[in-house]
Amino acid sequence: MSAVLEVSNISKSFGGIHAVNGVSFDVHEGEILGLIGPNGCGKSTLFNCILGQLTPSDGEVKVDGKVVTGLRPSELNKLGVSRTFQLLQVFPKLSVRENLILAGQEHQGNMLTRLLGPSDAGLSEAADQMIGFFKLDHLANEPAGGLSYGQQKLLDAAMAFMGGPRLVLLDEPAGGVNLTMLADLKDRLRAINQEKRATFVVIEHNMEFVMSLCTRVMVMAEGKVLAMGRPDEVRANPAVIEAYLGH
Amino acid sequence: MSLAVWWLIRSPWGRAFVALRENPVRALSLGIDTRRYTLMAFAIGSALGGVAGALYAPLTQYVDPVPFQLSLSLDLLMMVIVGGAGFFFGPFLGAMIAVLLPEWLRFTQGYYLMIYAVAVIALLIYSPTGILGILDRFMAERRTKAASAQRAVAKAKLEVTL
Repeated sequence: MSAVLEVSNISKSFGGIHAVNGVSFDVHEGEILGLIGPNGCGKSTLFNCILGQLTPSDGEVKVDGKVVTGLRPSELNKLGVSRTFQLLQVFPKLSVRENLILAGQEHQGNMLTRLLGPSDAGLSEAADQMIGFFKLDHLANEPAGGLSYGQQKLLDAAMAFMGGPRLVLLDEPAGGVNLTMLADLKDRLRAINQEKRATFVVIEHNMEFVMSLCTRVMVMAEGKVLAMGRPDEVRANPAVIEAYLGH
Repeated sequence: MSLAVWWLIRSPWGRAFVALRENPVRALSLGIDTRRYTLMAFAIGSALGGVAGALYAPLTQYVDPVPFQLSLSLDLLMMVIVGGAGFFFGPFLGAMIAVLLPEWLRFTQGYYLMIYAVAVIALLIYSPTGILGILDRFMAERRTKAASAQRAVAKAKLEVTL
């Protein structure tokens, strides 16, 4: 399996604080890598460095073998890298369908065709399929701001898949989602992973969710990688138990 | 001109402009080149102003800089804010009010500007999204109430079935 994402020695400092300190790892095609660790250990900062939201102080990021360090998030998205955020980031005034069309429209045609072409950028069918896939059919025309928190989380995740990404980084997708929706979300992620060979990196605090979804888990503490391995190996690692999981 | 703007708003560009206004960080993560769209929005707005200027010259048969002082820019901005920024008909409504209000308040004589200022301040406190924003909120509340009623009926039916 080839590495879709290669992170080499990434560091990020804010003043004297080392939020991420020399982190290296690879993610292979079709893999679901879980990223866990206590609050403030640098998980989201690492995501932001990989995705161009922050410029790393040191290190290199490669996607499909190409160096992407310092690229803007929009350029990375064009290369097939997509993400969700820790806090909800849907567009409340747009309908569910329009949110999804928006999420995919920049992958269709060019600036001129997006101005003169159809208003849905030819994505209505794809958006409706995604709406059905995430069981949001009855809400397709509702403004996203009127949806419940869990439904908005599903929409947020669905938006990340509209451009047909190769690599998706999900930041706490299960946070605030009820148990029924959580099971749905896990099913959907697993299905996209298997059917479309999409590769995931998932930050999450819900251990049951991570351990049952991910093929490999990386544990961070104080900006560094504490452990990496299969979920059962990580769960049994004394250092991880000590630093994060507890007894 | 209005048709062209209407086309623009309903095109993917219009959707990108909304995304840019509501959440530029998320827009960037969805592949929207926020720098390019910001420049385009500025260029389009300037072009519309240019067209208006070109239409103004033959209308008055005389062009001088006096009418284009800061107060005109503030008046135009006020029209957008009062009508409702972000709504297609907002500037139309705002312009109508700005033109008609002095006529309606003629009886107040010198107090017109003071009343207008107080009304705008009150509007911005109550509804920062302008008059159409009030309408939009009202419609959203109605939709929420209807959806809640539907949920209550569905819940009642479920309880009866169980």
